[in-house]
Amino acid sequence: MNLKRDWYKWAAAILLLYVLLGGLALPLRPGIVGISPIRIETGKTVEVQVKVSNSQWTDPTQISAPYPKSLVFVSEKVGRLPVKAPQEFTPVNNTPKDSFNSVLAWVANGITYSSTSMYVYGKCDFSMGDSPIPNEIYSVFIELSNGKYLGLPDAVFIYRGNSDTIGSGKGLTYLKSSFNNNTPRFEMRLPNRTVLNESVRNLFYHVPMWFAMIALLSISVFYAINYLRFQRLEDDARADSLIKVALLAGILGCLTGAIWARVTWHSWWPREDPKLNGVAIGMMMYFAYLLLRSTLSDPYQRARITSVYSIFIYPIFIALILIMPKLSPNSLHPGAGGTVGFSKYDLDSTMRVFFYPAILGWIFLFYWISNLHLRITKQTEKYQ
Amino acid sequence: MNTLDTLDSQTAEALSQHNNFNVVYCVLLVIFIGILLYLVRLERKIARLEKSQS
Repeated sequence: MNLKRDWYKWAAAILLLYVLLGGLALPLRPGIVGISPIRIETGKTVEVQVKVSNSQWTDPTQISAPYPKSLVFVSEKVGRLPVKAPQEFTPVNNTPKDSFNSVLAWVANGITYSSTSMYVYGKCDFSMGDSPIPNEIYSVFIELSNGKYLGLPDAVFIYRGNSDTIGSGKGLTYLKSSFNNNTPRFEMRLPNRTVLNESVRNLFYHVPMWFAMIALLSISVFYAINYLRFQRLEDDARADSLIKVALLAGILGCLTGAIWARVTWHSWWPREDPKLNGVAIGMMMYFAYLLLRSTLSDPYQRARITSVYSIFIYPIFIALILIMPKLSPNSLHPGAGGTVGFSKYDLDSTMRVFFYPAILGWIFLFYWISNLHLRITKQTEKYQ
Repeated sequence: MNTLDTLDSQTAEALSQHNNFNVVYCVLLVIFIGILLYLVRLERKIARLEKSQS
């Protein structure tokens, strides 16, 4: 292979090898994956069982690994209630300076765990204390000995029990609100997200399909415009090859997305998701392109009509899969409701180290395949 | 056991099945098979081309 001409083929091979090995081999960070019970009545002392995955204290190779210290139940809404001055409570951590910096929480100290079990047990006195609390969904956190927290958002529903009276028991305590303050930084472990867990690796294999499709379609529009300007059939053949391989990437994106959705969203094709609806219409438009192209036999007429068609459907496709889902208030995909996808909230630095090479690698690979298609088309036309 | 308790245990059960690494393998397999099938199609086109050439 000619290194100067075929650099992207080498790049595809190296990048994809890196992404495949790294994306599959890196372990996940520790995280909470389940809690039992998921409904707790106040006014009682309840033993709570929390299931963790990839916890470092169960890893025999990590000697000085942080171990769990306490279980914390916290709700953002309840935490913001200005119930009473924090000095009147016995704080668990340092005494908070002002109530804005602290949250109300139930804390279970003296928890039990072992280095061979995935479970952490804690007994917690769920009593209201001095002020009534609303029935609310709480997040659960495991406080670690290094000051960090493992969390599961919206994990447990805590409601006021009939036997619970105001003023009984110590109940809620004030904690410094240092939750979710784990700034994303690079470590050789992938983030452990609720619901996603191990399947977070699909970000390197499913999402780049769509990046590749959009990249190839963008290049094809360039060649379609070039055809209309210079009437060279080679430009039309290039545009056609790119669209066909882009469709392959799109079909693979749909299939892999369906499998991922079945596991995480419990549906092969969640109909309420605007991104999926947009993709369905967009793919139909490009299938219509194939149909249109196959019905025309005169090469110049075919090239002219399909070039115009593909130039017109490209912005509609982009609007359907990138812009419309963003305008929609509810989408299961990240980046809906006016926010930018792949922001610092969606991607941490370890994911980026694999995600960006994955995008480039898959784009190069599909471009390579489209190049093979183009060369076959050129040869076919020569011998006809 | 009332309905809510049943729901409780079901949700806990669903949450505990967190190890979804298999879905990553499935996704990779689908991509691999998809690209392979496309390459087979290209291969057939080349074979037809070689036939018409000779």
